[in-house]
Amino acid sequence: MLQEQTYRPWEGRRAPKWARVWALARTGLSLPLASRWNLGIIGLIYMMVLGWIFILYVMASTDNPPIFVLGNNLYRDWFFNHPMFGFLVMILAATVGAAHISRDLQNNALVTFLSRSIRPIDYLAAKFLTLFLFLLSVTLGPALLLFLGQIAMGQEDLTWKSGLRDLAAILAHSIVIAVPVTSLVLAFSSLTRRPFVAGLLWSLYYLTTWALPGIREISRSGDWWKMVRLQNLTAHVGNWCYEKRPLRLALLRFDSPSEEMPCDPWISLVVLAAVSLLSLAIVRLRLRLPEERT
Amino acid sequence: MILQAEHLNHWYRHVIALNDISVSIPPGITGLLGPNGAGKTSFLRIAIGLMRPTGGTLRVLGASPWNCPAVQKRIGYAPEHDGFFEWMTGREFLRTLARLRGVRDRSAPKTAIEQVRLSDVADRAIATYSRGMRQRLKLAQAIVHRPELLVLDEPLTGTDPVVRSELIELIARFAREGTSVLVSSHVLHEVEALTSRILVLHRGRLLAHGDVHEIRALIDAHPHTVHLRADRPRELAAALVREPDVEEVRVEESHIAVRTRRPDEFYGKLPRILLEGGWRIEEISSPDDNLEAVFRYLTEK
Amino acid sequence: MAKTLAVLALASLGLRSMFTGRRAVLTAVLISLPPTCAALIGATSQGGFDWAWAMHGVSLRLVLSSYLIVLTLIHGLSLSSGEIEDGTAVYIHLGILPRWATLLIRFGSTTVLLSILTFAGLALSGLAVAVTMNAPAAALLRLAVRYSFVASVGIGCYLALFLFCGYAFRRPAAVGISATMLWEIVVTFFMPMRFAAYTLTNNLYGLALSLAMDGHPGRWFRYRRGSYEIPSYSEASLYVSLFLGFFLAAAMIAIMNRSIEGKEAR
Repeated sequence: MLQEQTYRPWEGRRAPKWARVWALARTGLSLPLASRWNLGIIGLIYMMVLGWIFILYVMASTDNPPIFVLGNNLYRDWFFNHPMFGFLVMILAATVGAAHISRDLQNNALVTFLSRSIRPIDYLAAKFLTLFLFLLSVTLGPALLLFLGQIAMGQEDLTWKSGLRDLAAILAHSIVIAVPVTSLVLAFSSLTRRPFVAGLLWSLYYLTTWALPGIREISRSGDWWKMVRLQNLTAHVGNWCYEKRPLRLALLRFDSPSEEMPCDPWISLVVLAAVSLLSLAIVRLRLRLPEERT
Repeated sequence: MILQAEHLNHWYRHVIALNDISVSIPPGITGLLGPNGAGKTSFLRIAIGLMRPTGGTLRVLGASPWNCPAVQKRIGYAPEHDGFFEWMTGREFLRTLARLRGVRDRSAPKTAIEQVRLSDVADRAIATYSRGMRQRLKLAQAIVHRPELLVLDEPLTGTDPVVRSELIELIARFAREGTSVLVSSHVLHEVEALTSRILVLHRGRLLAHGDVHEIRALIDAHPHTVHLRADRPRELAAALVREPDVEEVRVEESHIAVRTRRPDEFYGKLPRILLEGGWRIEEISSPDDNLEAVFRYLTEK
Repeated sequence: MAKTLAVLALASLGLRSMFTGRRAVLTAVLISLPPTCAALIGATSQGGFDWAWAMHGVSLRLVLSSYLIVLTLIHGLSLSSGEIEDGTAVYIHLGILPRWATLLIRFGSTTVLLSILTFAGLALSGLAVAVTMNAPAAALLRLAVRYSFVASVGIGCYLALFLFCGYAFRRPAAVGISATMLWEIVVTFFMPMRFAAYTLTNNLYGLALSLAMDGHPGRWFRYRRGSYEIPSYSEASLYVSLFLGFFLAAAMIAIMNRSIEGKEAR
C-alpha cells in the first residue's frame, strides 16, 4: 500500500510565541554551564561577588559601622558602582555572552533557527533574555541578599516606605547595568564568527573606555570624557534611583565618579538608551540569512 | 624492520585509542586498515613522533621518534585533515617546508611539484586549490625531503578516480625506488592495488597483520567460498556435496557456490572429481579471497 | 647550514603569519588604538593639561595595562594552540629542529616584531599628541622609545606566559584570560595591597617609573599608599627576569611533552 507523500501543513495547536522565545533562551542559559572552564570562571566571579557582599554585610551590621556603609550608599558606591564589581561583570559578560551569537554564526545555526517560525526579533529577544538573566543573577541577586541582610541586621531604622524604595532602586540599578552591557556584548558577538574574538573586542572596548577618562582625570569639572566610561553612566543613572536620606552622620566621600558628571542624570540615561538601541540595531542587521546578504 | 611496536597503548583521557599493539613492519608498502575510530591515525601519529604513547614502545627506523628530529627528518607524513598556510602558494609552501627539513637542494620543491603534477597551479594561493590539489600538495610536502619512510593518512580521500589512480601510481613508484610506505585507507580495493601486506585495526586492537591471502586462510571461522561455472551444474553439485571437505553447495543461476573450511584440500581434490565426472569447467573463482572480505570478516568478529 | 636554513625559514614563517588573516586585522586595530586615543585626548584637552601626562596616560593606562595583554594573548595562542587546532603544527614540528628550539625561535621573532609594532603605535601616539597639543615632538618620541622598551619587556613576559598556556592546557584561552584578567588587572587596580607588587603590570609600572618618568610618579600612582609601593627599578627588573625565565622554560617543557593530536581526537 502506498502512503500519501504530498506535503500536509501542521494542523495541531502551535505553542505561543513567548514559549518559542523561552525555549531558545533556556538553551542559551544552559550552554555556558556546559563547559568546565566556563563554569570555573563563572563560579570564581560569583564567589568574589558573594565574598564582597559578605564583607559589606559584616561591616554594616556591626555595632559601630563605618560611616561609608550607612544608608543606601552601601548598595550604590560599595557594590554596584565599585570599579572591581564593574570589571567582574565585564568578565562574566565576556565569558557567558561572547559566544551567544558568534557561535551560531560559526555553525550556520542561524539558518536552522530562522527557517522555523522564529523571526529575527524573536531570536534577538531570546539571546537578550539569556544574557540579561545571567547578569541580573550577579547584580540583583547578591544585592537582594545584602538588602535582606540589612533589613535583619542593619544599623539604619528604615520605614516600610524607605525599605521598598531601596528595593525598587536596587532593581532599577540592576536593570540599568544589565541592559546596556547585554546589548553591547550581543553587538560584539554578532560582529564575528569567532567567540574568542567577540570576547576580546568587548574586553578591549571596556578597557579602553575605562582607561580614557582616567587619563583625563586631572581635569575634573565639566569633563565630558567621563561620559565615555560605561560604568560612570550606569552609576550616574543608578544613583538617581535611590532615595536621598538624611543620615545621623555625614558620609565620607568615596571617590565616586557619579558625583562629578558634567550633566544631569537623564542625559546619561539617554546616552545609555541610545548605546543599547544602537547595539541591538547592529545585531538585527547581522541577523540576516546568507541568501539575504548577497 | 622499519617499525616495531611492543605493547603499544594510547588513551585520550578515558577512551582507549590503541590497546596493546605489538607488531613489526618490514620495508615495502604496508596498508593500515580499520573502520572509523579504529586507532589508525593515532597509530600513525605516534609512529612519526607527533604523539607520545601512553604505554609501551614504538621504534621507527631503529629509534623512538618522540622528540627525535634525527628520526623525524627521515620520515615524510601526509596528514588526513587539511592544515595549510592558506595564504601561501603551493610553491612557497613546499619551499618553506623543504627548508624546515634542512633540504639544501633548491630544486627539491620543483621536483616534488612536478612529481605530483601541480606545476600548473603551484603559484596560486592554496586557498584556491581543489580537494585533489590539496591531497597532491600534501603528498608533495611529504616527499620533498626524500624520506626513507612515507606515512600517508587517507591519501586518497575525496579524490576523483583520475587523481586517485595517479596517486596510486605515484605511491607505487616511490616504493619501487626504495621508499617504504605505510598507508592508511578506507578504500580497500585501492590498498589492494598497492599491496597485499596489511595491518587491520579495530577498536584500538590489532586484529591481524601480514599477507591478505595468508590472513584469509587463517580465518577458519568463515568457510571459504569457491564459485564454479560448469556444464551440467546440478550433477557436479551432487558430486561435490558428497565430499567431506565441502560444507555447503548451492546452485545459483550462473554458477555453483561451494563452501569449504579446508580450501587447500578441496582444491587438491577438485581436478580428480572433475575428471571422473567428465565435467567441463569454464571458470573457477574465489569471491572472498580479497581484502574486503578479510576486512569484513575480521571486523565482524 | 641546514639548521641555519631551518631557523630562517621558521622565523620568516612566523613573521609572515602575523600579517595574514584575522590576526593581522586585530593587531592593526590594537596598534592604531593608542594613537587614535592620544589624538582624541589631545584634540579635546583644555588648558592646563600637560602633554607629557597625555603620553604617560596612553602608555601606562592603555598600552602597558591592557593592550599588551590582548596583543600577546592573540599571538601567543595563535602560535601554540591555534596551530595545533588548525593542523599546521604538524608541519612546523616535523622539521630538523628540536621542539624547544622551534619555540625559542618563534618566541624571539614574534617578540621583536610585536615590539617594533608597539613602538610604531607609541611613536604615532607621541606624534598625535605633538600635533594636537602643539607639544615638542622630539621629547614625545623620546618618551615613546622609553615606553617601547618597557613594553617590549612586557611583550616578552606575556608571550612566554601565553605560549606556556597554549601548550600546557587544553583550554589555553580560559586559563590565560583568567590568569591575566583576574590577577593582573583586578589585583593591580583594585587591591592596593602588598601582594600587588607581584603582578607583572605593577612591575612594568616600576620599570616605566624609572625609565620614562624619571622616578616622578606624579598623579599616576597617587592611589598607592600605605604598605604598598610601586616596585623599584631593581625589584622590577628581578621580577620580570624571573617571570620571563620561568614561563619560557615552562613553555619549552610543555612543548616537549605536548602530543599533537589530530582533529579525530577532539
